[in-house]
Amino acid sequence: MDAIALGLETLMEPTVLAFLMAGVFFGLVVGSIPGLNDNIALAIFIPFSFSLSPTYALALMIGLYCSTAVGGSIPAVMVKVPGTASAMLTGIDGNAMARQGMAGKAIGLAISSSVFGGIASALVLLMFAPPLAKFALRFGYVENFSLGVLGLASVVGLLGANIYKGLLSATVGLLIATVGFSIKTGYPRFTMDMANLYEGMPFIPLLVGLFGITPMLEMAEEIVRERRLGNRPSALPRISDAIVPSWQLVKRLLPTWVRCASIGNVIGVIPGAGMLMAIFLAYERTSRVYKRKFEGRPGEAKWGEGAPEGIAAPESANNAVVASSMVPLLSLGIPGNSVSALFIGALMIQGMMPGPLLFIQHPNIAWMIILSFLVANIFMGPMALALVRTLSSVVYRIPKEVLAPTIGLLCLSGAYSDGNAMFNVWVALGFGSLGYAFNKLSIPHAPLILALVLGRQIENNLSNSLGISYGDWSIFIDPVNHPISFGLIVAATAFVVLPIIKRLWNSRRQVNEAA
Amino acid sequence: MTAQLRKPDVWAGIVFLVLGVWAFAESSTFDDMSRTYPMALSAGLVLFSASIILRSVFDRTPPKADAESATIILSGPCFQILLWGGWALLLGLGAGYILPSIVVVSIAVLRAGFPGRLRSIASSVAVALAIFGIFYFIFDVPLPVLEVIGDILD
Repeated sequence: MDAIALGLETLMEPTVLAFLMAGVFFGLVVGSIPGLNDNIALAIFIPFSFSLSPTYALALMIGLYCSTAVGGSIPAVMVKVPGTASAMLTGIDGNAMARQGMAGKAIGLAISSSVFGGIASALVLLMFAPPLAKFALRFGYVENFSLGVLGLASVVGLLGANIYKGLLSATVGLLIATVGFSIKTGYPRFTMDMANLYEGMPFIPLLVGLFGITPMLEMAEEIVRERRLGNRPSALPRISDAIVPSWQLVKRLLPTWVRCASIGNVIGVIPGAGMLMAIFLAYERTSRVYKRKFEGRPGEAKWGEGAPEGIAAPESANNAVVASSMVPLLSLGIPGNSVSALFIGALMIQGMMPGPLLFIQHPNIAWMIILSFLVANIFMGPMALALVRTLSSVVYRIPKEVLAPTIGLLCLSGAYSDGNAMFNVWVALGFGSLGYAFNKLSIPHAPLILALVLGRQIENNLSNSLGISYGDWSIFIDPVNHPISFGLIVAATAFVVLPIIKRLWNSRRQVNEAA
Repeated sequence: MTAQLRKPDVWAGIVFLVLGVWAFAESSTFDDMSRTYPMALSAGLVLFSASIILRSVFDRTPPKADAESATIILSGPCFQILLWGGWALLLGLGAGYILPSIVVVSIAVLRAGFPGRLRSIASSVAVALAIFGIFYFIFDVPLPVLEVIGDILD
């Protein structure tokens, strides 16, 4: 209880609250600009966090993370161009509603659903992260190695048909993480006699490259493609109706919010699952309920043609992923998604490591982070409602042609500022190009990022575990002396093997059916 | 076989296979205690790359011949990589931060088709100076500057 009070006291400092609100504001702006997202915004911001105190930097980042998804729904509703990928389904019913002259209602629904999802998710973080962290304190080298393996396996396993590419991506990440002095002997590995690599691949420029330069390159591709097609942005609908949803509508949407926020929370806690999986699951589930309960009734739109539930489902689900994705990061040190991986960078800059020890070494910071998610979501609703008319008209005045090089210059300057070394600029550029190549080849990013984050810990825990067991690998699957590790390895195996068995089963069934 | 070689997955697999073989050979030169883990990972990389190549070769779906996409990638992202690589080179060669930034941002904006040459250059100067200001003055990052500009700023 004292630790919670300490976190609350830290958060309630006026400057920290101001940074949190500034983060919410910037998140709404960034999210509402098509092409920008939370990854880019945080990648640009991380190098700046050097010069801020940890509480200010984290408050700003949390505010930004919470509100980008809401901002993303504005262009999705207005012109069916989602500001962020997580708003891609919001645009279907949202834009249909806007074209029927109900843009205000659609945006109001998106905001209220996001706030509901966000607050539910913050409560999940508040309830589950601390006890999970307490439990994780029992983990030794053996359990921590198995936990790292489970983290990677869960990400790879969720890729379905892409499992081989996922394994390749994870292996590349683990291999890159071995660059630098060996933990055991200090032998320089894969350094090619470059002093800059002795301490390992610079982490911040690497993140800046993957999260900032890669989208910049994608934006450059999109600009060229649009120019060749001669596309011009379409006219923006106007908001002429009320934005705040009626009480009657709120009552009707409550079951949808609860259902979809629960889906988002469960998905958020699983490393690597991400917002997209949450919105698709929530949308699909809600469509079935809507078709059964509302479709065909007088005054009710068809699904996909302006159904309020079609906005409420993806918006409450995507915001429910936000705080819950921090549960594995804060309690176990494993990022729930790519954005929470960026939080590792920010914490590392401030000399902290996420994981169970954060609650012991820096309880005020750990609790401040948790409570900030709750407060940011409370701020977000009124701020988004107040700003929506301005944002929806201003965002389309920012030309993409200037935005792309601005992101490029910001990211590369940020990479340079981490140690003031030109080498870091090359690292950011190299990893940006690698990320772009991965996208083009449909090689998933998530396993690469998770492997880069966990690589050193996995190797360290592996070598220490094998040291304890005198080289006996069965220590990881010893149900008597290491039952937690045994359970984690069983779960990891299930994550990878079950999708393969399911695919084989399905293809066999298809062959049988064809015969 | 020629058709299979047009599949990007085959080439990606070959690149990672070569990388895996190189990493395996390199790891074998490390000392006894430091080599096992990277060697195992390199072997894994070789295995997964080979499986991607094989899956792609035996996949009967014909490769998509898309010259348009290749042109877009070359004139969009590839050009940007070269452009920003040039920026990094100029900074490394001591050309300072401001001038290379203005030049590179201007080229990127003009090439993207932003209307009005003068407006493009003005926007680029504004972007470069604003970002320089943020890093140099607010966050106290010692960005490389030409001696003349450094004297003025001091």
